[in-house]
Amino acid sequence: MNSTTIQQILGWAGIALLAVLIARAIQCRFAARYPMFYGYLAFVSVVSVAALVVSAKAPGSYWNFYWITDFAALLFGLGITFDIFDQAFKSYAGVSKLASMPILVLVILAFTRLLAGGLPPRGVTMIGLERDLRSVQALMLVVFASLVVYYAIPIGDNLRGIALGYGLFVGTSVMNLMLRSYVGAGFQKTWGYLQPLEYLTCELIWCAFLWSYAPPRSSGQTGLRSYQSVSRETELLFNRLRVYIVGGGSE
Amino acid sequence: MIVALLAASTGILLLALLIALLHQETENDSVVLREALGLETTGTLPPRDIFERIFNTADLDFIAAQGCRPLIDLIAADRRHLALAWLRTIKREAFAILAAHRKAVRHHQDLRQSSELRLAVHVAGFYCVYLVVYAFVGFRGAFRLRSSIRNLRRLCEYLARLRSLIVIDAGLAPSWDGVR
Repeated sequence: MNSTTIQQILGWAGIALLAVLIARAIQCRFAARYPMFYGYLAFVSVVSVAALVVSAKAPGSYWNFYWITDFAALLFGLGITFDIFDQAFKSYAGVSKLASMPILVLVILAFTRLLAGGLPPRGVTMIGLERDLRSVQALMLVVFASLVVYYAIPIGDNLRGIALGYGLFVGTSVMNLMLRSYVGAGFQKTWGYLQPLEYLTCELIWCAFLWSYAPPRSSGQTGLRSYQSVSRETELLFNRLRVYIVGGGSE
Repeated sequence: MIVALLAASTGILLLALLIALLHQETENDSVVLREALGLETTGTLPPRDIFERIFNTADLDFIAAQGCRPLIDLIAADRRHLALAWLRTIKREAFAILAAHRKAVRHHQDLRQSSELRLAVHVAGFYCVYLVVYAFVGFRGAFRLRSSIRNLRRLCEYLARLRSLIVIDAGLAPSWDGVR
């Protein structure tokens, strides 16, 4: 079995899983709950079929097609990232406010990099540009995951699955692009196998977490006391604990 | 090269956080289970008498007077285990307090970066002290802790002063030192 056949098999398997994901969401009527994500999946499905056709019929123009659609998918991905933030922190205005400043900085950084890279970028610059933009996207997801983990925000299985799968895709893409820009064309063949395999893993994660509708679990509102008094009390408790250790149990 | 390394670090950090995100569901379930059972983890610091007993050298002195070396080693090992368990209980309490804080403030609209950062400094300060004491007891045993506590206090005061300087440098609220 030659490398093209293996890539074709991986490609079609990925498309089949995408179709399963979309069909399941339509059947269970929750696709509209995550419009950006399912819009992205539909876009990737169409583009993947087109990519397989282009690579078979007109291999010369494949890379032009790849880069154009890849940047479109990247922009779609930014939409998913914002959608994840919006849905996860809907009931957590304070946490959302905490996230807004670093996100704003990252968006400015992304636009600056995009403008500095030149429009349209070409050749190796394109790989570097995508790597940097994906890195910015990865940082946004780092901010998201940090806040969710730190404040133990119950985001529900669906949103967790979207974040896990998409985060894995972005994280591995950053690594692949870093290796591609650093190692050079020698990494191209490995990349050809790695990328579809990684995407298949993401799709399997989405299948596991998005098989049925699982909204965020509601958490009890504990806003009775002021934030300042809660913060002050926590600080005081930590000081007492510190003194408790060093002072030998005398609080 | 630096850009490539930064990109790789970002990718690795994201993947690590995703593992934490995956693990978080189990934590949430256990929290929900604890709440359903009405169990509370905070407010259970070991009483002072236990501390006094663990670190008291009276038993050691008595056994040493008998001149039985194996018994001396045994009591030293036992006290070390007890002291480490005592320290771990305090650490658990600290994490319970932090979890309770996060749970209490996550719905507040006026969540402030400066306050959360200040708390992070407090947590880091506590954790530094905990690690120093834990390492000390782990390596040198429980009985030597009491004699070295004055040095430890001095170290902690130094750490606290250092922390205050960091807080002042960061331009955070001057009222912070008032709670110490």
